[in-house]
Amino acid sequence: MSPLPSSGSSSRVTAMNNARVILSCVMLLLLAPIGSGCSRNLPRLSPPQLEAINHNMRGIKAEARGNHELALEEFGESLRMNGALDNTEGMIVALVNISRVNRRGGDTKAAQEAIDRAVELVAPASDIFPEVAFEKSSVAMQANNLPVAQDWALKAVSTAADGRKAAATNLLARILHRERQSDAARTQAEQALSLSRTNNQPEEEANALRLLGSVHREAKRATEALDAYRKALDLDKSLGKSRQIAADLRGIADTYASVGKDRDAVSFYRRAQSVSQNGGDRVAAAEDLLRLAQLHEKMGEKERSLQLMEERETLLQQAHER
Amino acid sequence: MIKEEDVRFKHLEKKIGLFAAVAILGALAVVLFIGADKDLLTPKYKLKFTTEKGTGFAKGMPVKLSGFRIGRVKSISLNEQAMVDIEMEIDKKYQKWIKSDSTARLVKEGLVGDSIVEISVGSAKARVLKNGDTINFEKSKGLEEVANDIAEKVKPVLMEVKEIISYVNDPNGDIKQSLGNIKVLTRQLQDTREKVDELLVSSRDNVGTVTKSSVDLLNNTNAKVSALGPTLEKVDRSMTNLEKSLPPLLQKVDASMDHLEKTTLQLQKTSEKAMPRVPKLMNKAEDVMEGADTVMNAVKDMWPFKNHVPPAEQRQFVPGDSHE
Repeated sequence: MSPLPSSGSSSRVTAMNNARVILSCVMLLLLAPIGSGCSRNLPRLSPPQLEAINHNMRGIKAEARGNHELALEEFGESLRMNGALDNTEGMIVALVNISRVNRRGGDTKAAQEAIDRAVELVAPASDIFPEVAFEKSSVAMQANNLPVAQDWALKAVSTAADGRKAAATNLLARILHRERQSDAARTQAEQALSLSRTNNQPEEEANALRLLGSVHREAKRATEALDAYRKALDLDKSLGKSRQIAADLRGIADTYASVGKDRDAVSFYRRAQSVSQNGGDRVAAAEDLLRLAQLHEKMGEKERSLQLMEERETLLQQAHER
Repeated sequence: MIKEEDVRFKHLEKKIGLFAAVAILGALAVVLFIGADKDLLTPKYKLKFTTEKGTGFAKGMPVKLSGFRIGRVKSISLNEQAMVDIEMEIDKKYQKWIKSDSTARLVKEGLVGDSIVEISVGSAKARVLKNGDTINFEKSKGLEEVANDIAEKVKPVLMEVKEIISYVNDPNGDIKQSLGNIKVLTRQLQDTREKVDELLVSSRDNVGTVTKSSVDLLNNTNAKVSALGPTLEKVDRSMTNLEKSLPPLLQKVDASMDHLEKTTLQLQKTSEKAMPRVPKLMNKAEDVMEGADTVMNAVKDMWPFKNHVPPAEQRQFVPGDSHE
């Protein structure tokens, strides 16, 4: 058994502990200014500047939650505040974000207006020029103005930093693919695939693979197409991207349908439709139902085909009501 | 020396001189007469215009004003712009009619007559054109162009007429088929009439049978109405019961409504008391939020937190994917 400490020794220990705490506080107070002096010296932003940035950040968060209206409101406020502060860069950022949200919402005209204003303001040597060019190209592609889309995609590719190069190259490849320039599209998609792997960007890697799948399918190389789509599907599943997963499944189904494997095609269209419907993309799901109906009719199952067409009508009606 | 002289040669020089003078005067008179007749001696002035094509113009072509010949085309030449300059010579006495708003037109006298240049009379207030001035030229359509225009206009009409005729003549077309149908219908109408006649004859016999059936039906209906009596009595009893149980139920509802009214009144009073405090509370809450924000911002600027807080970045874009 150890001897119990006497009352005198216990009070000494307490006093020493108190002294340590006080000494630590004094040291902390003395070291704080030194520490702050050693830390980064960033330019201090004024409260209105911070507020404009905060509006932009809140807009990005709202868009991530799928609240387009609130996002547009926040970006609009950011644009207004940056305009009042004569902050051109902040205005361009807000305009690009407004364009992006409108484009995703299907309002191409509003997107065009915003991005055209951004294009007028941005200097070609600016760091944010590649993002403006990327958005301008995307909007032009959505408006089916492919020559303009290609022109701006080339600008985006030539000016983008490493982190965005794969996305810009993929965009260029998509435009070329839509222009039926299969060879050029394939070259660009392979370039994008290589860049995305180097920079460890699985999203863009999957996009490049999906595009290669389409290129191979249209060139009647079914095996290569299925391989590319399956790789893209694996990546998109690991990333949890619903729309992209549905697109991969649709690509596989299209490939099977193109080689006459109708039963396999039906199975994959069904999966694509289920993913789209559960992911909230009713229009894409309705498209899958249409393809399913066409396949069933081709296989002589007319009743099933009619049933699927009715299902599609209901879905489109729901999408319209929303 | 004797100088023999013939009397006939006496004053010969004078006679020749007189004869020559008369001949010259006669020639002059003829020239003057022809000149006056051809307007060669009338004072003239020149007007010009330019046209794209010289087709239809000829040197010496008459120039007319209101149907009267007032001059002629003096010259036709090709200029540097590959256009045709036409110069007209017009009698001075008509100058007062040709103004700055007059126009020259190439027209035909009648359908197959000669081409002439027709000048329109200018307005009273316009300036009179002087020697060497340019007059406006108004291009008029030639016979061929007019015929082409008419042909172009008539062509669709003819096409439509052709289509209508072929439509009418088409044995499988609506009109031919309708006519066939009318023919069939007329034939069928005659059959129908015969059938109707037969029906009328047979219906006369059936009237008696129908009357008897109606009487039976009325007797049956009467029996059913008599059977409905007990059911109506039951309904009557149910209504009496309902009348008895309804007043207490209504009283209960009334009491509940009273309670609800009192509760609402209480709530209203409470709200009235609380409402004026709400804006103050909101202001206070806003102050507290702003204070917290200031403190947080200050803390973010302090070491060691400063190093762990990402700086406010204004170049933040909504993530953009190449697949969108």
